[in-house]
This record gives sequence, structure tokens and C-alpha cells, in this order.
Amino acid sequence: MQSGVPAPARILVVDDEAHIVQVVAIKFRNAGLAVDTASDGDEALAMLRRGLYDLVVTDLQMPVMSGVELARAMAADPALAGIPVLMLTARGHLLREGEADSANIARVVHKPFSPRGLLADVHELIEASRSRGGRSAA
Amino acid sequence: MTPHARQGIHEMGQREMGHASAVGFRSDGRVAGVLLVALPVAVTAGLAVVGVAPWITAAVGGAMGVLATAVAYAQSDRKGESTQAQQPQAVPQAGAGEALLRRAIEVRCNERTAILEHLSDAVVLVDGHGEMRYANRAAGAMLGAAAAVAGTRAAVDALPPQVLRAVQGVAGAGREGERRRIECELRDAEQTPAVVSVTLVKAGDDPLVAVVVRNVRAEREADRMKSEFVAKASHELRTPLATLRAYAEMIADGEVADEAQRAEFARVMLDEADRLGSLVDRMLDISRIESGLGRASFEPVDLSALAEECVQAQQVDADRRRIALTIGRRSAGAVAWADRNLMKQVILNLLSNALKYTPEGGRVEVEVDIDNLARSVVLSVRDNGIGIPAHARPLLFGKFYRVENHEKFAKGTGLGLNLCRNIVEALHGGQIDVDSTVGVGSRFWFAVPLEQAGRKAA
Repeated sequence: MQSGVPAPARILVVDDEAHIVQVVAIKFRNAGLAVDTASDGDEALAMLRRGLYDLVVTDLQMPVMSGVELARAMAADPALAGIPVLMLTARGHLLREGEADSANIARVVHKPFSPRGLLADVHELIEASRSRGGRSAA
Repeated sequence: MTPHARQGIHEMGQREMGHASAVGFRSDGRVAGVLLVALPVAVTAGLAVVGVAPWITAAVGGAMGVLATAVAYAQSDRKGESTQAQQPQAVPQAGAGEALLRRAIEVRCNERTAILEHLSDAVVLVDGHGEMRYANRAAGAMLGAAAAVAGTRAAVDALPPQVLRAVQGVAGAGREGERRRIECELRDAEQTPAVVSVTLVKAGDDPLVAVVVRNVRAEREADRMKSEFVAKASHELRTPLATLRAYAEMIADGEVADEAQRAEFARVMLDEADRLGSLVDRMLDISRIESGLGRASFEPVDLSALAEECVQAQQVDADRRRIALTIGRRSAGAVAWADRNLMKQVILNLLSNALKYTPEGGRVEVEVDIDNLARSVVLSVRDNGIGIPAHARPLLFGKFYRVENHEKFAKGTGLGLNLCRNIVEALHGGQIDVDSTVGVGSRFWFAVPLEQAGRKAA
């Protein structure tokens, strides 16, 4: 680890609903997190391969690639497999059988959600990830 | 009852067939009419009088009328005694009466067989040995052709095990009318969902059990679609609700940087509230039309002029996506008998769909024609977009149906085309459909009655 304050955790927020991406990004940035955004899974994967992220917050139902497909693509890539995924879903019930089998889906949050609650979840997941030896602890 | 009539009544019991009948005769020996043919439910338990039909026949040019009531007897031997003991004088007429009676019985039997044969439910009558006594046509179709061969166990063997257990159960119960209801899947390749009713119709040493099998695939499908609708609707409603909830919390938590951001948040919340409102409206519009409560205010509507108005309204969206949105051929006098607002809703919906599913740089063209043969105005929206695969076309006008992979191009409520179909077909008696080739484009069109034709129909 470099000297001084640890680098802020870096979050990638993925949703095709621009309003959701905006409000989540503002909430996270106000809390001192570094945030990048993507509007679909392809864009998200490209960004993940370019930069270093601590966590991905993604919507489940998106055009091009679903949140689950994104999580699976990440799990299949050794460089991305360790990044936890927080899944946002407007589906009333839990993920369908076989959808949550991707080990990197760390939490599922239902829409409508509380940005405050989401931030608390993100802090918790980053904490857990770092104690397991995630990016910032390395 | 006149003495003539009393004398003329001849009662017959048909032991083997389980029928009791009464036939009225005039004193000259000619038959005045068949009074009653009773088909008792069970012969052994005692004959039931299924109906008593009093006949009053006025004799032509005479004073004689026949009034008769029929009584069916519990035991045919008792009946035999009574017939011989009480009415020996009727015997000479028995030949004519019997022929008529046989005919009447035949007619009744044929009626009942016809009803059974044309039922959509399978009906199988099983005896105490598990052999089939009778199976109707639907049983052959539902349980296999072999099931329709009387005197075999094929029909019984074709039934699911829980139904067989119920057959044994009611046969052993010994109470006529004993009934079990079973929900199961048939043992066919399609695993047809069925509701089976198993009833003991005759108790005793040789019990008879009626098995009625109803195919409930359509009902199950309707149930499934209803719950799917609720699941999808809740998803569609949650999305704008999520934005509203999140932005409101941000304002409440003081997470807005400045007045400009506060104003922007407020605008987003207004937009989402409107989106939620229009989604709810659309759902209600559809359910109103489907429940028959929807009404259209008919007036002459110039669809060419309306199409132009709609094209203008969508021009900004088209320009933004660099799509050439134009109005092509317009027939003069394309005046429909329609609800103007509803027609506008349909046209705007078709236009916005065309713009959504046509790549940038594409083109969308509206045409208005008159179909003189069908006395209709036909409006079509043609695009050179991604097209719709053939298998999806019949489903396209359903609720929340999204062509797979099309979600990648655009989001929608999934109710637009369903509302269009309801407006065009249910409210205007018109037709809506699509011709499409994948990769080439689609032509959505609808036809509504011309003014004169519509006025006449109304």
C-alpha cells in the first residue's frame, strides 16, 4: 500500500436508467467514493478491463446484457472475478433459480431502494472485500 | 281423468334398459301421444320418476280427451303384475304402443349419446373390474384411440395413477354420487393439465364409475398470463417509483449541491411521476376496454390530416435519431368513423415504435389508403428497421411482450401495441397487424371503417 491516505474505493455503476445512474453517482461521490458509470453491460466490461474497481453496482434488467450476464462475464475473467457485484432489481421477487449462481453477486437490492441504504451496503461490501484481500488492501 | 283415458293408459316397463314409460291411447285404439319416457338413474336401487308429463289431448271433432300421468315402478316384476292384473284390456294395443315406445326410447338415447359424444370433456364409464363400458369421442382424443375400445382396460390404464386410486376409492365407497375431484397431468406427450371428476353412478355388486376429464390447459395458461402480467406490471411500475424514491430521499437528506441541482431533481421527479401516471393510465385503458367498459366517441376523422399532425409531433424525436420521418401517399377522403383522440394515440404509438426500432439514418413513412372493398381507411407505418421474427408476430400485440433481444434497442411499457389492438379492434371493429422481414423492416397497419360504413354500422 502506498503511503498516506488509502485511495478512495472505486465503484462502477451500471444501469440503462440514466436517472438512477445519476442519483447513485451523486450519493456515492458525496460520500467520498470514486464513481464511474456505464449504461450497459458491454460498456461496463470495457471499463472494468481498463481500470481498477472495488465494486460494481448494476441493474438486473438492461438492454444488450443483463446484470446477471455481466456478473457471469466478470466471473469468467480472472482479472475481474474477485470484484463483488451488487445487483439492483425492479423485479419483485428474488433472482430466479440459477441466476444468482454467479459467486460474485454479493448482494441483491430491490427497487425502489434507499440511496442511503445502498451506500451503507456498498461500504459494508468494500470492507468485507478489503479484509479478504481485495484491490485496495493489496 | 276420464274413464276412456284411464282405460287407455298402458304402462310399460323395460327392465333391461331401465326405462319406464306411459303411453296414452284413445279408446279407438289409436295412439294419442307418448306421455313419458323415464330414464331412471339406477335400476337396482329402485326406479326414479324422472318426469311426469301430463298430456291433454283434445280429440278432433269429439268429446274425448286423454289425460294421463305416468308412474314408474320400483320393481319391474311388480310392474308386470300390475300391468296384467289391472289393465288386461290394454294388451291388444301393445304392438302399436311398443313400436312407438321403442322409437321414443331410441330418440332419447340418441339425444343423450349425441350430447355425450359432442362434449369437449372426456367421459369414461368404468365398471367394477376396471373395464371400460363407454367412452365418448373426447376420451379417445384425450386418452388415446385405444381408450375408446369398450370392454378393455385401455381407457383405465391411460388415466393417471391418482385418478385410478380415486376410481377404486369411490367404487368401494358404496354411496351413489360419491365424488372425488383430482387435478393432475394426463399421461400424454403434452402432459395436458386436467381436472378429473370421478363419481360413483351405480353402487352395488357391479359398481359403475363415471370419470369426466376436462382439459384445463387454456385456464392454466390464462392464470399463468395473469400472474405474469402482475409480475411484469409491478416491474414496470417499480422503475419510475425507484427514481422518485431515490431523488426524494436525496433532497430530504440535504444531498443537493445547489439550487440548480435541486431544480433538476424536481424536474426528474416530475417526469417520472408522469411516466408512472401514463403507465397506470395505459393499464387502466386496456382493462377498461377488455372489461367492456371502454367507450369511443365517434365522429368523422380525417386520418390523412391526423397522420400529418402526428408526424409533426414526432419530428423532433426523428431528427434527434437522424431518421427521415415522412408522410407518403395520402388518399383523398380518407375519413374514418372513429374516436379522434384514440386514433391519435394509435398513430403516435406506431410512429414512436418505428422510430425506436429503426437504426439511426433510417427512414419511417406513413401512408393513408382507402380500401373500397372493406369500406375502410388503412393507415400504415413502414420502416426499414430491424424487423420482427415470424414467431414473434402473433405475440406482438399481447401485454408486456418484448421480442427477445429487442429490449437492447429500446425500453417501453410493453403495453403500447396491446392498447392499439384494443382501440382498433375492440372499440372500432377494425383490424391491426404487421408485415415484417427481419433485417429489412416492418409495416404496421391498421384499418378502421370509413365514415359512411361506420355510421351505418353504428
